[in-house]
Amino acid sequence: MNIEQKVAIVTGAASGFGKALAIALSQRGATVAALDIDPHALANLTATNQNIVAFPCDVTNHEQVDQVIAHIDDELGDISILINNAGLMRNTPLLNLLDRNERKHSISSWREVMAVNQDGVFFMARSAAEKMLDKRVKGVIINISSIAAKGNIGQTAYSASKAAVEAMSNVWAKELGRFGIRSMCIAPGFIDTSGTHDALEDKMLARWVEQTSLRRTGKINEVVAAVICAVENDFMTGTTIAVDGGLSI
Amino acid sequence: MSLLQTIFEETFKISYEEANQDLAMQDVANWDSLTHMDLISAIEDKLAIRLSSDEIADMTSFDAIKRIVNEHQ
Repeated sequence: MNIEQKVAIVTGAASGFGKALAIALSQRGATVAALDIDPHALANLTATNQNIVAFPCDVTNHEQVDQVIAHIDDELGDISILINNAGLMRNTPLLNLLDRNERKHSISSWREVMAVNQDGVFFMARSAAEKMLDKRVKGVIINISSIAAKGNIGQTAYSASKAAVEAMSNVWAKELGRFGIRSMCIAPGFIDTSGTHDALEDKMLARWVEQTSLRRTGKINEVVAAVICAVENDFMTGTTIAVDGGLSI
Repeated sequence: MSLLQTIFEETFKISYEEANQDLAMQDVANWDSLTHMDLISAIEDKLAIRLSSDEIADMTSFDAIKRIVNEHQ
């Protein structure tokens, strides 16, 4: 797919990967609908990028998602690219033996992560795919997964949500492929972002880096490059590209 | 045989005779929501027409499909 003049949606676009992806797509000539729950951070992004339009949206609210997708279709035109990037990471073991009051993994933390990472992806995809199908647009849905989809210690909810994202992505590739709509995942490893440093202690991150073949964390632009490749290559669908420096080998 | 009947045969893996009858969705063993997507994709590709979402939902029998397709030609 040639990105130029296409309408692309990026969720979680106000910071991190999402922001970098929105900027990269706009630099390649796409009109980008930037979705985020934080309207102020979105305003900062759109103030300096003419081809990026802010759509504040809580992806866990399916009615809001349907409305925003309809607005994007009306205001920007046919949707060709959906990047499901919005996500939450929580580090919580199934049993925290140090916590006398709440040893078991909290239900609220489980639901919070699943609502954004799993439900949000599902809500966005079903609504955007309907528009693609109605307009017979041979679009692409890219879901940001993680190496955690295989099961990261201390991340029950996050790992489960990313495994669900990879499974849904494969289902959609099978279902929608006959209409030329593609669906696939990008699974980053440990990338040098504020989110990674917030989520992991330095010692823990150093241990992960030791297990990475390339002995370093990844860079945001390396993940962006994989997403752009997935968007542009029309024969890639139903697969997951690991961008993890060899950690998952 | 019409192109539509060939599409019915190939999509639903049914015989020439069955494809010539007016079968409805419930009469064809593997006509479900997924093979319906194959059916629509094949009709649009091979007959070079574009069906509306209402037409797609109304295509629940061979006769209904023939009638809707005829309206496009």
